[in-house]
Amino acid sequence: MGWFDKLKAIFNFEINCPLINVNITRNSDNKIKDKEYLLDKDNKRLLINYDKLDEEKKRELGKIFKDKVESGGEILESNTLVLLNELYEYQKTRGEDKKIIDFFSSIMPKEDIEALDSSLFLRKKFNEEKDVRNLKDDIRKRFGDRGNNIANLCTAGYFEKFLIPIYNSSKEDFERIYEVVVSKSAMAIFVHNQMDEEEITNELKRKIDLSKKYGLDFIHIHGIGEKNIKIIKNWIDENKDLLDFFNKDIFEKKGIIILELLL
Amino acid sequence: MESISLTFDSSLKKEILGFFDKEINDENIIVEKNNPQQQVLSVDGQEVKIEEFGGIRKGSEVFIKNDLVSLMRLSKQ
Repeated sequence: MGWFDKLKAIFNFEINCPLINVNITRNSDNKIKDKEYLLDKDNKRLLINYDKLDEEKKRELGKIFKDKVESGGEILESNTLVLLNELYEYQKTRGEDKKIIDFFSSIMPKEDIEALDSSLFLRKKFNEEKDVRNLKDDIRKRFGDRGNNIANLCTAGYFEKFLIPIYNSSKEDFERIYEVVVSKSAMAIFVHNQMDEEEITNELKRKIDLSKKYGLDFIHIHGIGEKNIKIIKNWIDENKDLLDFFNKDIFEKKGIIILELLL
Repeated sequence: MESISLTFDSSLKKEILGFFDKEINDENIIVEKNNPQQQVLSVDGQEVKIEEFGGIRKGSEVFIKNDLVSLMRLSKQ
C-alpha cells in the first residue's frame, strides 16, 4: 500500500479528481478551520488540518511521512517545494544563462561560479518583477560580500557585457581585472557599447548620488570601448568639482578602463 | 501516485521533525531526540538550523536546506 492509500485509509475518504499535492497545514485558514481536511479541486491539492487531528491520527500521519522518505521519496516545506519546482523548470529553460555559466566555468573559482549560477536565477526572477530580497539574502549568507557583489554585477549584465568581451580580447587582462571586479564592486557602474552619452552621464550621476546617500565612500566605473572611455573621462573632468569626488585610475589600457571615484 | 508531492506549512516544522524523532537544541540546530549531541546533516554535510529546514529526502534522512544555493544544487541532481 502506497503512502497516499494509507492517508486515504486514515481519513476514510475517496478522491475522484487528480491531485498534485497533499499539504499539512495549520487551521489559520478560515476555509479549513473546522475540518480535518479540505479538497481544493481548483489547485488539485488536499489540505490536512494538523491542529484538528486527534493524537492517533497525528501518529498515523507521522508514520506516513516516515514511510514516504524511507521508500525513496521526499517531504518538503511548501515554500521550499515552490522554489525547488521553479529551479527544476529553470534548469530546463535556462538557455543564455547556461552559456554564461559554461563560458566562465573553467576560468572562475568554483565558489564564484556557484554564486553566479544562483545570481542568474535571481536575475531572471528580478526581470519578472518578483520580490528577490530573500534570494539575494541567501546568496549573501552563503558567499558573503563577494557573493553579494557577484549578484549585483550579474543583475546589471556585467558578466556577459563586460567580462566576456574582456576575456575574449585578452585573458591576461581578464585575470588582472577579475579579482578587483568581484571583490570590490560594492557599487559599480559599467559602461558598455549599447549606452549613449546621455545614458552614461545620467547613470554616473545617479550612482554617485546613491553611493553618497548610502554612505559608500567609493564607486567603480568600468568602461569598454574607446568612445566610452572618452565620454567617461570628459564627464569626470567636467563634474569633478561639482559633484565632489576624487578619481584614481586602477587599470587602463587600450579599450578598457577601470576607475575608482573616492567620494 | 508518487507524483503527488507531500508538503507541510513552515509553521509545522517542529511537528514534522518530531515525526522523525528529531528536535532542536538551544542554538536552534536540529538534533536527534534520543541523542541531542548528534546533529543532523544537510546534503553538503552542514548542520541545519530550524529556520533553514526545508525538508527531508530519501536515503538515510538527508536534510534539505531551504536556501537558494542549496536548492540550486538539489535541482541539478
